[in-house]
Amino acid sequence: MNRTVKNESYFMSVWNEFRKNRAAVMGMSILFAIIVVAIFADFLAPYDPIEQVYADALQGPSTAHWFGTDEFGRDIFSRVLYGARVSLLVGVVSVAIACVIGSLLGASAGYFGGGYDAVVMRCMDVLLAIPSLLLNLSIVSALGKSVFNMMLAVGVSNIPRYCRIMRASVLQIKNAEYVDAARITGASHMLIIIRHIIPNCLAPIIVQATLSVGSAIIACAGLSFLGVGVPAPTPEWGAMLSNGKDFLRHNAYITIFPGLAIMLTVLSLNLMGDGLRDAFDPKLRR
Amino acid sequence: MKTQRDKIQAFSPDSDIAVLKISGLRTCLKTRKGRLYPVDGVDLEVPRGQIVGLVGESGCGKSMMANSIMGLLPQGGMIEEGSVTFCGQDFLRYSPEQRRQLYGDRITLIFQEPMSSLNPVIRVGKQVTEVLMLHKQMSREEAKHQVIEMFRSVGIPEPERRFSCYPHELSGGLRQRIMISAAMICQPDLLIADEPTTALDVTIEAQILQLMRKLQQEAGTSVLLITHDLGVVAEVCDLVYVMYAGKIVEAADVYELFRNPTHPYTRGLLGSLPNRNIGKRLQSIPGTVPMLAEMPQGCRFAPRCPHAAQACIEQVPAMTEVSQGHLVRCPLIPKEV
Repeated sequence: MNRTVKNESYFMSVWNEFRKNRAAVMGMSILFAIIVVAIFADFLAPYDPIEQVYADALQGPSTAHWFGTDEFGRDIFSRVLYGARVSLLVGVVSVAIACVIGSLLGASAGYFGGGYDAVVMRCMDVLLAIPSLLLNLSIVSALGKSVFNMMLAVGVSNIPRYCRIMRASVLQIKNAEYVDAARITGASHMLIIIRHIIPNCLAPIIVQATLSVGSAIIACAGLSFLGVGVPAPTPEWGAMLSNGKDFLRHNAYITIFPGLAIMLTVLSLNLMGDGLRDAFDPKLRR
Repeated sequence: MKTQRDKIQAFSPDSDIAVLKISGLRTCLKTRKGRLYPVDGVDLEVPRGQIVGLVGESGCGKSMMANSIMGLLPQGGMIEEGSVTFCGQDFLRYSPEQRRQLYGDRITLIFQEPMSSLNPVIRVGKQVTEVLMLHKQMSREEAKHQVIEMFRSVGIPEPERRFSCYPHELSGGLRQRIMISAAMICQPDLLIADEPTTALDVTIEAQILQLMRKLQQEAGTSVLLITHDLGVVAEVCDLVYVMYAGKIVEAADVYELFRNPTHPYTRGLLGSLPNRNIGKRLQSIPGTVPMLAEMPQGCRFAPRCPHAAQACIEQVPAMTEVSQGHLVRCPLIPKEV
């Protein structure tokens, strides 16, 4: 029997390509480690992240407090570990919001075209025209200060990106013969969009999503820094940066460590996103 | 909706009624150059259980006609006049939703390019199963079973394993077999095959044609075979329509057409077949199909016709019957050409 035909799926071949890229695999490993830390923060953290011990306030890094303590005597190492939870959650959820809404809007706009397309895309232009920080601030202040509203705000300001990427891919795919072939088997518009068009447009969206989890974390950190993000005692990297700003001259470590954590997360996501982009692009394959 | 479909079903066993009857079909394309008519007054009939060939050069409107029926006209395209009757029912009166119910179930289409007509990210078995489940009430298991049986009958080796292959893992011939099984799985009344073998090599072409003939006889499906290859027509068709520049120029049954080609265009096409002129240079028809925006007055073939006379330029010819069932659109008929 002829066994030369391998049932290798498209995503398997992308994965094989991705594995060859060392930087991307490293990025994925770091990200994996950060996720593990976020999940097991309860067991890994030596101190309670919100317990205030005034006797230990503003101590530099030592064997007792690896990353030192802040002005309330809270252990920064523990706070960074716990902060991974909020920051990762915020990054992933806000990107998910943007990704799902943006992709559906973009796919329908590209598929149906005409007036609907024009209306959707002009709305996206309006969203793009407002500086995203300003938009985030106004959404959060209108809806009230909470973690979910912050994620929603960051998500909404990212919708246009996904919408435009998706629309561009759909415009390309919708004239493919297999879409006509699906239409003449009697498939409805909804079935054609969801079953035949979107899966063929996913590659650029996946790449954009991994790349923008990093910027979403930074945007949330920025909001927390401005004081409209995560409420006070909850450990969050951006909020920690914001707290440390008053002590920058003499106690820089308060800002350095959460800053490093953000950098590491964003770096790992960007490495992974780059690797995914290269793996999805057949022209770059060796 | 249900009642509408039942009505059509009630009509279909009646063998007197043609499965597809097109009369005076005129398809209009709105472009910057104005209104163009790639299909301009086509009359065509596909009797039940027969294979009807539609022959013509590239750009003469064959595919545009198929697309008009299947609702695949490009933006700015629309059917301007004429009627399309499917199993005795006025097809053009149907709502898009009603037509959608028929597509894939009672009317199906096979494209020219098997390479690009399958969705690259869905397993082929699944793609065929979905067609079946869209139109027939059955469980996924039953559907899968039936699809594998279909794969076997279209000559796909190891159908169970091919079921879970992606399109890029299969050869062109296999993919066209998959397309054929997707088109035939619901046992349609009408199959429109738009140059189904053009992208395949000659040995595979013969197999695919044989297969279509076999399935067509088993399921009682009528086929409208669109092709530019007279060899294909001679091999499988019962009736032939020759199309030129948006109009039917000759219609006859296949034996009559090959024995007694009457329209100069048909003769030109037959003259350009290689095996008829051994030792002689291959003849060709000079020139190309006229641009849509620059259709000649009178007979559209006149500028390329070796016999063109003054009458050809002045009057628009009508179809004339030269013998039983043999119609020709030439101003010089019944006078000798």
